[in-house]
Amino acid sequence: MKERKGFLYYFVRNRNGMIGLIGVSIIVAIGLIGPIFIPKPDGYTADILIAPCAQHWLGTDNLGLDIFAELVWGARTSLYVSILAMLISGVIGIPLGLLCGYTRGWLSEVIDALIDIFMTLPMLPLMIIVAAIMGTSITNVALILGIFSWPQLARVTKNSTLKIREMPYIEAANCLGLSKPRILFKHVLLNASGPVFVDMTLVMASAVLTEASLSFLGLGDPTTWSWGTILKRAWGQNAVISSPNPWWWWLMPSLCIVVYVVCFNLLGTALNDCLNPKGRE
Amino acid sequence: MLRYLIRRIGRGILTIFVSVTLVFFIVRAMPSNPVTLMISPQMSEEAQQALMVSYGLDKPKSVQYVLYMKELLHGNLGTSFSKRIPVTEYLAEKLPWTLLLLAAVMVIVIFVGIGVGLFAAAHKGKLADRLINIVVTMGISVFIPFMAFLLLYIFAFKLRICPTGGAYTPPKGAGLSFYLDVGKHLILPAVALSITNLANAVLYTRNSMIDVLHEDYIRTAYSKGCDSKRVMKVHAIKNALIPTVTVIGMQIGIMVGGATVTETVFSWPGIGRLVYDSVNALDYPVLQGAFLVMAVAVVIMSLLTDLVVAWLDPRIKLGG
Amino acid sequence: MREEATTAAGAETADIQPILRVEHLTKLFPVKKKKLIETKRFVHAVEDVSFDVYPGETLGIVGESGSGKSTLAQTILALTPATSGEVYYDGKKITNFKVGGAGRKKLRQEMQMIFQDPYASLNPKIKVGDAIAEPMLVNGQAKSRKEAEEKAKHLLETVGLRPEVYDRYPHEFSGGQRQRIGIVRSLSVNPRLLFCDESVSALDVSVQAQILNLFNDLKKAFHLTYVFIGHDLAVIRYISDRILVMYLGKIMEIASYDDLFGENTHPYTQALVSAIPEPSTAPRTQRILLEGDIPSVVNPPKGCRFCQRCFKAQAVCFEQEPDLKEVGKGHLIRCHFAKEAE
Repeated sequence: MKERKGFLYYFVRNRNGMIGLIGVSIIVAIGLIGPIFIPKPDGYTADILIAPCAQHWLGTDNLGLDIFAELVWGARTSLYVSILAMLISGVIGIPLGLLCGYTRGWLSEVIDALIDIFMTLPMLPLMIIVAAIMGTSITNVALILGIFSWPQLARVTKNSTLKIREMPYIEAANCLGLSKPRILFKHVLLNASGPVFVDMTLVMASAVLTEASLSFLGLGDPTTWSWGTILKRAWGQNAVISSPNPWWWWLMPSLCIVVYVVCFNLLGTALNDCLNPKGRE
Repeated sequence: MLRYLIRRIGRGILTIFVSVTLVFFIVRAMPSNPVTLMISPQMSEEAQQALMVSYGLDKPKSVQYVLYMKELLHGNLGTSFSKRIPVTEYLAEKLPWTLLLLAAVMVIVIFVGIGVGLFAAAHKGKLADRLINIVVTMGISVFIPFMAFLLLYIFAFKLRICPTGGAYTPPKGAGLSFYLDVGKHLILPAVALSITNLANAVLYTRNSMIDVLHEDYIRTAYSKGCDSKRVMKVHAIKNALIPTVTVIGMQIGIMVGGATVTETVFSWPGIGRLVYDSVNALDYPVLQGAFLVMAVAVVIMSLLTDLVVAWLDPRIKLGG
Repeated sequence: MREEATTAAGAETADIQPILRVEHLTKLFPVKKKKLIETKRFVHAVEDVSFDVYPGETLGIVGESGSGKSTLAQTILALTPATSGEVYYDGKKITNFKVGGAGRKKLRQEMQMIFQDPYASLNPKIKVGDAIAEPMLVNGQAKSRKEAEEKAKHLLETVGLRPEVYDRYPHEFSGGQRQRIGIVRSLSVNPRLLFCDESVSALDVSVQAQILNLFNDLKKAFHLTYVFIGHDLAVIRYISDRILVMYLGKIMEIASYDDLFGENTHPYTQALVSAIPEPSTAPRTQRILLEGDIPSVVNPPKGCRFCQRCFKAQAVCFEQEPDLKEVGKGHLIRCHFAKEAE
């Protein structure tokens, strides 16, 4: 039998994937380690709206707080929100997707209709309402994101499960008297894990975008720094169109969001290419 | 075909129903009472109670729901709490602006997106294609307010060729100058809002065009010496556009409400902005009405998308 | 092999209870409706099939693809629900495995299946060892992972694989090796009755012979009963004591090995027999070529299922469906022209 090259072989040779992985690692490192060394920006100082200089690498805002410190703390928030949102959507979406794909009959139909309807609901406006109800805490935002992003994951899981369900090894597992949960969560999920894993990285990327949007609209956590919160404050002070223009104030957090999302998207696409034999050229 | 339409419309009505019901109960789960925002402390208990009764908020939620659904079937969406005007009137005032914005987005996405996508596919692997790929990757990941900020900074602040917000320069005029004014106000929000979809359109068009050009039937046609390349191209493009149309169709429908952030940044008086304002004002009837409009928009768009895809792809028979 | 045929035939006369009895088993698949108003139609995958399997014998089931032989096995093993009919195991009714919890678990162990495609029947993401050990742990053949590993390695050696196989993934093995792994996995839960569904069809001819020999060896070592399903009579006859011929979801003939190659057989069987390549230089007597393809199972022919392709077909064959007639001891034929026992 021909020796099949492993997933790692392809992954380390995927340039975009490596860029994404390095970017993600840097963001994770900053988000985890940064807040230990950099105190949380709080209160106000006299150094208002200073352009980037040696002391304030990325300048200060209208309260004289260091933008770099705010961004580091914002990175931690973004990580926290996106990981929690991913886990929640996984906990809801994966079992529903497995059930929907594996079973035949009314349960499958009901879940399928549910996925369809949730996919077409206007998510952002709904999240705005729910965020307004649940109150502004960063965990609530993560919860909302998770609860509203499961349909995508469920659909990906379902589609993979539909194919795997017909495989003889699943019939064999049935024949050997293995229980339904064991077949679903071990034998099916192991084989569906590729696309599901990819989709989870994409959920992390979109979670940060949505969190930033909610924070930007003032539905974030006022006690925590997030990239969206910084933008909201900058926007509130007309930072984009005021003269002289404190460009660092609105540009830096925006760039952080873009870099974060780009890195996760690159990573997800590369994982997809490497897990899918068709994309291995 | 008939069977398909019945099923599709059934699903659509179900979606609208779920959306309306969900929003009805979610807004009523809000911790604060809308009446408290409208009354002054001097108001007597009786006056407050009278206000509650006049809005029907004194009844149990299930009764309120049944009443609401009944009225809804008669086309009555209730009265806005904050504006004291019928919700239908209020929505009718906002909806054209949203539709205008979406139409502009659609024009940009279809003409620019598909054009660039086809161009990239034709130059696959060349420098232009690679550059387009990088821009597209960024475009898919872009945070819309960031795009909006950049546009505002460059075109409104530095170059001063576009207004910073609103849909027109008040007072509301008429005639050609008014339309030109609206057009000027429309450019920046439309561009900001179309970025993600534009990137998606380019990506899907490029990739599926490349796939289609490798399909057997196109190769067969070439090897048969099919000289009318134009017809060939039309066939290839028709097939290549299927994924693009599917993705864009859904997105446009969702954007009716999803443009909240863009509409906020540019103070655009559309439905998305309305949702945000109504949440802050606890204006239940307006929120419910807005969600109804959004759900209807999504359902119509997905139906339209299916029809267009069926037209593009002769293999799909809408009966199966 | 051959000598066992007599014991099986003898078993019928003695009062030995069949290990498996299938009575009037029918499986219909509904056809998807195309129009809004349309009468419901069905694919007659398996129709009114009855037969017995005796302990220690090998029953071969032969038929073209589409004859319903795989569906038959799946229906017996409750992998797909039966439309009607009954299945008895050891004299107890087990149709659709509708028996109490413990009984069902026992059935799932005692009746096993070996699949056709050795590439698709092993989960690519699960190590060989785990694939074998898991059912043992779940069903209680092994108390601990260590015990399961010992047993699995012993079984692997029995089928001619090295114990190191335990820690490998399926993709590292060839088709024949994978099929051996699949066999070990089924043996791990101590089955009595083994269904082999085209278990050697996907393998190279040289490997087929090895695996068939392995099946014969295992039969003696583990006291197994086989139901061996295949489309190739050349393979089936090599291993079977009795053979059941299926066509379009119905039984055409049930015969012992000797009867099947005798004079009085079903025309379809004669066609199948004549198609077996013979390693002889003598001129072939006459090869019966079947014309056309197997007809649609949605609208089976009105008369005999085989009438459209039968070289003996007369007017009566197109009008009236023949019954399954006993023409000898344990020899049944569904043909108007079969010589009945006197």
